[in-house]
Amino acid sequence: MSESIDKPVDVQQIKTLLEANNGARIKTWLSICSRCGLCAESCFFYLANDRDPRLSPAYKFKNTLGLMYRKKGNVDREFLKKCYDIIWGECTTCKRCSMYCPFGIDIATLIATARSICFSQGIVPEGLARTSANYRETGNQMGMSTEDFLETCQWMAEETAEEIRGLTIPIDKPGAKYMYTVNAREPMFYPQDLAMAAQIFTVAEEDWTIPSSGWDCTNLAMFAGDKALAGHVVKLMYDKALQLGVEKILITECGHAYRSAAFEGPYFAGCTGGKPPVEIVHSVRLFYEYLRDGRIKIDPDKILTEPVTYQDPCNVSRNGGLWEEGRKIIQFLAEDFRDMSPNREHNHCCGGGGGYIPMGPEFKKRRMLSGRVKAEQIRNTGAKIVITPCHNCFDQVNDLNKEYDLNVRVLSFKEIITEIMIVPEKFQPVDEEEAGDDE
Amino acid sequence: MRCARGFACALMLIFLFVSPVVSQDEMIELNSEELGIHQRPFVQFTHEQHAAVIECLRCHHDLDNYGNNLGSEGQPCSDCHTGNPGKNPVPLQKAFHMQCKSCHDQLLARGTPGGPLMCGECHKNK
Amino acid sequence: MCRIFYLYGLSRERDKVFYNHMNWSWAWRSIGHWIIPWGSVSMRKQPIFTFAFFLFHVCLFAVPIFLSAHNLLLEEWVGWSLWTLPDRVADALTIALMVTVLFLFLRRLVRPEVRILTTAWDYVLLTMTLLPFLTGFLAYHQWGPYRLMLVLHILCGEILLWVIPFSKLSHVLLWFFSRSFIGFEMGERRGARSW
Repeated sequence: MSESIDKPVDVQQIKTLLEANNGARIKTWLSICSRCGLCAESCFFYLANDRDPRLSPAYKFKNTLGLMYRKKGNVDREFLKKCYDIIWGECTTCKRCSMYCPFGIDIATLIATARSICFSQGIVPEGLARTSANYRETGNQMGMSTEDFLETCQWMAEETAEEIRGLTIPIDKPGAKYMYTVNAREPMFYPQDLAMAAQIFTVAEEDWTIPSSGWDCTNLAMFAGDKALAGHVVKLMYDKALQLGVEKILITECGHAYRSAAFEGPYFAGCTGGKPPVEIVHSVRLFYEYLRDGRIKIDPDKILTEPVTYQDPCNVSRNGGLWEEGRKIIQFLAEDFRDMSPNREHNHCCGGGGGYIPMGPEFKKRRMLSGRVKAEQIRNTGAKIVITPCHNCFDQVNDLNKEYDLNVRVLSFKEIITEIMIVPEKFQPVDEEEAGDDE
Repeated sequence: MRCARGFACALMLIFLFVSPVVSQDEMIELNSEELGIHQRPFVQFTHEQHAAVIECLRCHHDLDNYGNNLGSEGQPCSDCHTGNPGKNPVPLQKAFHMQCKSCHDQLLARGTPGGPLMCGECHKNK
Repeated sequence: MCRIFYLYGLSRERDKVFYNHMNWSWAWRSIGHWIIPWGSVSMRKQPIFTFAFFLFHVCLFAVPIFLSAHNLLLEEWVGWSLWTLPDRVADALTIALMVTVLFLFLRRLVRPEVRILTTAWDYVLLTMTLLPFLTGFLAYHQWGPYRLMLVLHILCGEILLWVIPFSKLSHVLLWFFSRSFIGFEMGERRGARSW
């Protein structure tokens, strides 16, 4: 917990926040929940922890936000610390439960509201608080400076141009079709992700650009309950897109970035009409279109033969509606596709969402425990490769792989596509031998 | 809602003020064939007791267009009030219910002990 | 009804932004999938509960609305009435309702994930739902003191109707709103299903 000092909570502030959130939605949800318990079965925390009834979604919101309203905001720090454990440690706001609730109560929203109240009192996981400071300072979660970012882009462009002739990474190109935004860990730790994206866009002859600011599409402030900062983060991106006059914002293979940019960000940023000012497109959708339209062709000799499964990121499938697109991409890439059960919008969260991964070591043990459901789902498919277009799923499945000896490889679409696509003649490097060496 | 409350009050009043009328005399079992299968037990109608206190023609009525009562004793209700709605604006079941209950209700309103008003008080299980 | 208007007003004021993506088609689909027995994945996963739960709701509405005795009174007051159930059927449905109430009661006690959520008020509400049916059933069969039973029947019915707007029973109307909301929130906005 970021705040170790035990200063008394500001009850007045909590009351104001509760009142501000007390709209028809939350009022209705809190008053009609009939305590039927149907949501329990939907929650992977509940399933993974031997059906502990305290992990049922209804119990979680009833004992956090529900109690806050019952007590009319008269709560103490002790209580909020208990809430902290529940709302960050036992929920990834994956929204699966609202599909299983007969009333359609959006429990994730209730939990998110409870998070914003805890946040107002400085109660927030250390890992998320750190990213918040970075966002505030640099506009990206990892505190990367603009120079470093641009240098990384340039470095990757130079390096990859050896493989794909004419490859560039255009920065701040006005009027481009797509403004490609990334997860800060890509330039920071996995710069080859940028390179791979550049390869795909070059081969697809896309009109794209990377912005020099607002390039981090992640929004962990949203998960930290800091709505104002969350609004600031998406606004950086929207403003840049408007300034460059791009047609669409393209989101990298990241789940919550899509949720933030396309669906929840507009609320935080106070966009008129609740819609983002520029159309938001997820990579999964664009890659699917490339393959469908033949802008990217796959080398038939290189199609994956190992059994493959697809981890639906909650914020791409259930909360983004892109489950079919993901599967259709795989039809192009692999021969032996084995779906998990349940799948598509009913897929379980991997256990790394909702800010869980960045929350770090403090929560790692619980993350591994609750990931059991996902680990078993993967094991049951017998797949050797898990494809997932989400950085959090990627990390979580990798961790589960070690923890549960799943013996799988985790890959993103970018990695596979760049590996097995046909690079047309005009993009082949001039020196044929070198290309041969790369294979 | 308001009706239901009014009814509840009425029932409470009956409950408080009306003592059950019990005296056995000539009974007529109202088991009209016209009504087909009866949903509730047949009503045991105490004809003698009623005849003693009200005019026969009040029930055995037959009003013409000018309001003259041409009814005659001994004429069964079902002669005019048919089982199926249509021919007569007041079908037999409704006729029974209206005839009994309106009278009992009026008596009650006047503060005199009236007859039963609740379903099960006429449609008694044997 | 007042509460609906209140909430509607509140929603126009506080949650105005959500009206932007309101969509009738998604709302109706969301309602449709949940009003048909086993129409959603959630219900298919709990087939027995779903059966009991639907039977409960069907009886809860069908018996009082289509009971012949109720409709006779309606006819007398307003001059029209609805189609009626034969008394035997209504009787059977009442018994079914009482059995499902017992089932729901036991389920609250037995299933840990439900028990932990349950408060005394939930049992009280369930009992309050049962009472009009129980007293009506006893009055119909003329078991026990008839008049008392009928008066109790009416009283319990009244109380139940009064409690609806002030308790979770308000879901009788609000359900349609919450269901629609999640339908278009998931559907129109995110392109995903909520059933």
